[in-house]
Amino acid sequence: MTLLLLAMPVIAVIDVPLRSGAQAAPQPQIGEEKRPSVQDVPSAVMKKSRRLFLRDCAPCHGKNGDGNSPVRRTLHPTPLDLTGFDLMDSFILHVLHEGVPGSDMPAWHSSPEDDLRAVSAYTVRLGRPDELADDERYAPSGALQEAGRRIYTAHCARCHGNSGNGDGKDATRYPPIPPSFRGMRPSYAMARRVIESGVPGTAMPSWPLLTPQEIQAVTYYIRSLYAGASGATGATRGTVR
Amino acid sequence: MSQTLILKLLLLLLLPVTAVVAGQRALQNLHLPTAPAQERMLTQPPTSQPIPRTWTPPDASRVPTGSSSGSILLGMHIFTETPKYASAYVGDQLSCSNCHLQGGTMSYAIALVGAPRWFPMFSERAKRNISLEDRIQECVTRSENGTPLPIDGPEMTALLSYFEWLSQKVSSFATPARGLASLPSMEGDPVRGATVYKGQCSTCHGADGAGVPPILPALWGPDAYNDGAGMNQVKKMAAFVLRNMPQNNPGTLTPQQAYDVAAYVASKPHSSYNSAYDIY
Repeated sequence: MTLLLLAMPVIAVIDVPLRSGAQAAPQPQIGEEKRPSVQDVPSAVMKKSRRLFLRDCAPCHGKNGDGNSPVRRTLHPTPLDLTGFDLMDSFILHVLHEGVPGSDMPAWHSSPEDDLRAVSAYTVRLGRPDELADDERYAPSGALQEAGRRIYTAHCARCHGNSGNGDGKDATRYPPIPPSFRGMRPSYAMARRVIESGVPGTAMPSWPLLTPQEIQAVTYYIRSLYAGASGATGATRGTVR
Repeated sequence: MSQTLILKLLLLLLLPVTAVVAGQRALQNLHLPTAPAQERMLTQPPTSQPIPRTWTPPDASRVPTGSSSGSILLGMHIFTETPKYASAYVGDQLSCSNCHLQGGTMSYAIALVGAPRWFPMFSERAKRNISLEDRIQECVTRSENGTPLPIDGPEMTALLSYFEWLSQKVSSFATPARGLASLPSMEGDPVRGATVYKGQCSTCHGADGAGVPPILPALWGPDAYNDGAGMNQVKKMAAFVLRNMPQNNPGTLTPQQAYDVAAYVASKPHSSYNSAYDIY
């Protein structure tokens, strides 16, 4: 009896977020609907993925994965806005296995591998890609790519590495180490926010001298480093059902 | 009643214990850098320190709606993308904002906040009092290597509206420092400047000085300003470079290096200024 009494508050404390997480209705996605929305996938796999995401990830990353959660402001750096990036399956699994040292993202050692894969399948669907419309381009693709490469070399390569792998000469000096652009591709809006404001809690500074033109060019270049499938019909996404 | 009380007490007692256990588990996942690494972090901060943003770049969304808003927005576009929006009048691939950084709102980068109040102003070049329109024409014919704007045309009106908007209190710009940094007169050496250029400038502007128009400005050749431009004067470019370049690490060059690299750029070929435009 005493044991049960002792254990009860603990159970209560743990149990509450689990239940509320499982019951929480997924919020409608804002923005364009180019890619299949997470709510459109009725299969048992995605139901499980969603349940796991809401239980394990949503407390910090928010129900929509956009980083808006009650604890957001207590974490430094703040939880990643998962909707601002195209993420590769392998990249997410790596992060889930290893965590992100220097941030509050833990390694999920104790979770079964199946669960991690399920969560990863859900997370890749959160990204909302934004393509550059023709009238938004400051220059033709070739100029954007070449200017972007030069800006990247001058500003970013020191930490993010020449090929965007996050292996620049200063990468390990200021944890968390920069993520690999091969595994994550920022949207234009996200890249602009990060470059203009920096990422407090990491070594990523703000770059107030970069012009909108230069930010667009360097984003164009960074996006070209992505190794995953591009767009809504990417093969990696199509197989997750 | 008493049972609830006991439960509450137990809960209070257990909460710190669970917190400590959770904290310890979290620590296991955290790979702290070793002591020498920490020391290095403290003693060698990144040179790309965030630069405190003491100004706000012009934001199109803050242009007031009204009869002049279209003109202000056109002026902003001409200012930041000159080869696209004033293509009929410019002869190179530079934008106004390549020298007047951040849309003409940045200290020591030839800011234009308040410019309409400075004119008429005595010009050393023209040896007379000139108007703001005259001064714009100087930029168009020299730095833009182009032909004068029609004095009543939409481009001139738009630029004047834009400067007027920048200078209004309602645009809430703190008034930036005017002009360029002041520098003592020094001699620049193009040979030393070539070394500085190779190490600090060529990554973006290119070894050929051609940049990547219209994103990265050209410094010499057909896409750059002509030899009548202020930037072609070694002292002026040195003052600009000292405060604003290299863009990934501004403020790291010495005045002598700034003079050297300005002399190197000035020694490169530039288009010729048409002295018929001396009337402005």
